[in-house]
Amino acid sequence: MNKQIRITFLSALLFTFILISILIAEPVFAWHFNGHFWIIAPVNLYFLVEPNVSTESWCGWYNAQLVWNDAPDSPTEFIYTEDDSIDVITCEYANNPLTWSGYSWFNPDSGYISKAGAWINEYFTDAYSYYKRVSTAAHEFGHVIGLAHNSGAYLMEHYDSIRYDDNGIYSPTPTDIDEVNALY
Amino acid sequence: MKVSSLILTIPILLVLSITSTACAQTNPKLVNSGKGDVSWAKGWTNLSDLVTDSPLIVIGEIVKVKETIQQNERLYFTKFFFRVDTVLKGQAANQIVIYQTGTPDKPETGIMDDPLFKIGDKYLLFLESNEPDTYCYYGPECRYLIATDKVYSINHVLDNTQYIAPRTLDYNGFSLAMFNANVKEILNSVRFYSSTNVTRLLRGEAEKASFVLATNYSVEGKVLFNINRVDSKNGYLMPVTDGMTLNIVPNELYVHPNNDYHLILEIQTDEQNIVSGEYLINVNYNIGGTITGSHQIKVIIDTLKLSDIKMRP
Repeated sequence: MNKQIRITFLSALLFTFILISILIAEPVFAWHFNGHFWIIAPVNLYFLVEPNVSTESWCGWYNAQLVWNDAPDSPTEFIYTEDDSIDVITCEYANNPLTWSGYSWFNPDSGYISKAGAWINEYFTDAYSYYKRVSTAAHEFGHVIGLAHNSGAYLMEHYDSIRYDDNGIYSPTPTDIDEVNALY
Repeated sequence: MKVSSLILTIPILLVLSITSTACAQTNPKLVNSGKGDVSWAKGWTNLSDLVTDSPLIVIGEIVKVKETIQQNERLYFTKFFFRVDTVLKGQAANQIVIYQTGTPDKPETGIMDDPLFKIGDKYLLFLESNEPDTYCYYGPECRYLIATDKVYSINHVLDNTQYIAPRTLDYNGFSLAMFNANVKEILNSVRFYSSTNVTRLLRGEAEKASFVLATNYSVEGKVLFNINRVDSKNGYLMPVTDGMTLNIVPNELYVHPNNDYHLILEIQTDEQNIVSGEYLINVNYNIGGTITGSHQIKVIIDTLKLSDIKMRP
């Protein structure tokens, strides 16, 4: 085989390898957004905790905003209010034997949102420790500002047990904050 | 045609044929208008744990809506009738009722990674009863679409990317017969499982971890439990540390074939005597002096302080 054919053969092999890699590779680095976002950065987001939530849930919500506001480089500014004429986030409770511990909703249902809400399901969370409850509530605040689930040692990890028990996470990690800063 | 042209053409044709074959395999699609974002209370990392932790595993078809319940302005639940064709684990009537969050009348009230059922769809479901004759499930990890005798985890059929399946529960057109065989093989082994792999406590806090001891078709006998701490340096078993009390309830039982036995490990820490850190706890079972096994959980005593939590005024 002469030199030119060998070079052509090796080039073709390399080309094939690159092409197959491109075709089968899945994107590894991708932001995790849920399709909802506030028209400006998530600042001055007044949140109201419904008075009928349990004391434990109240502590969850209140401390969840603190961990978001205190996280380094976080653009968020959640503000606690008891005035239901100015709140844009309503924090409520559910207590039913369904299988989620937290739930978030948005209005309107897509695009820029002007109002959002979140529940924590006291059916499960009443048995949680204080920090685990903060972890659940802070996770819901993450959804409320536009983040989707992420897998691993992040605040946006799906499961409370993996997020808090396995990894001890109850406040936004630098990755969660990077995601918020990428969105706004 | 030159030899070099041939060498270039063959790999390109090869790549094109691989691509077209891949594109030809089209999965069924689940259209989801749900906008609710939830955190599921439980998750699993493999099929064996999911099988062990699920009281009922069935294959069947969504028949019709039974009723919709409105909890408040935004929160709806729907009960669906589900025709049971095959029971892989547990006992079920020919038709059962399954709960979902959301209502078909307002599709946006559904959940982004767990679309509302469509009448006529076939599913393999890992269920738990939440009220008499009614069942629920812990999100997409417990729900697999069946189409042409193939199993699809929800991430492969959903029209959004909101669900990321664990690698071991990721099925894209897997043979239903093989899936059933895998479940049967799991059910034919004795398993000892806890949904708590790690529990994290503050000094002085208490916690309960649930365990399941699942027997196979032949095992029967009295079970004794033994709880030890595992030395992190050499793996030796040693007495549980000062400042921590562990009890398994019940601490003795008699097991019969093909049953699940639920136990609770009570963990109590003493604020004054417990040292912050990680403790690996080994819970060992012995059935009739012949079959033994164990499960380990990690108890982390955190350095966090309850005084840093702002309490309700």
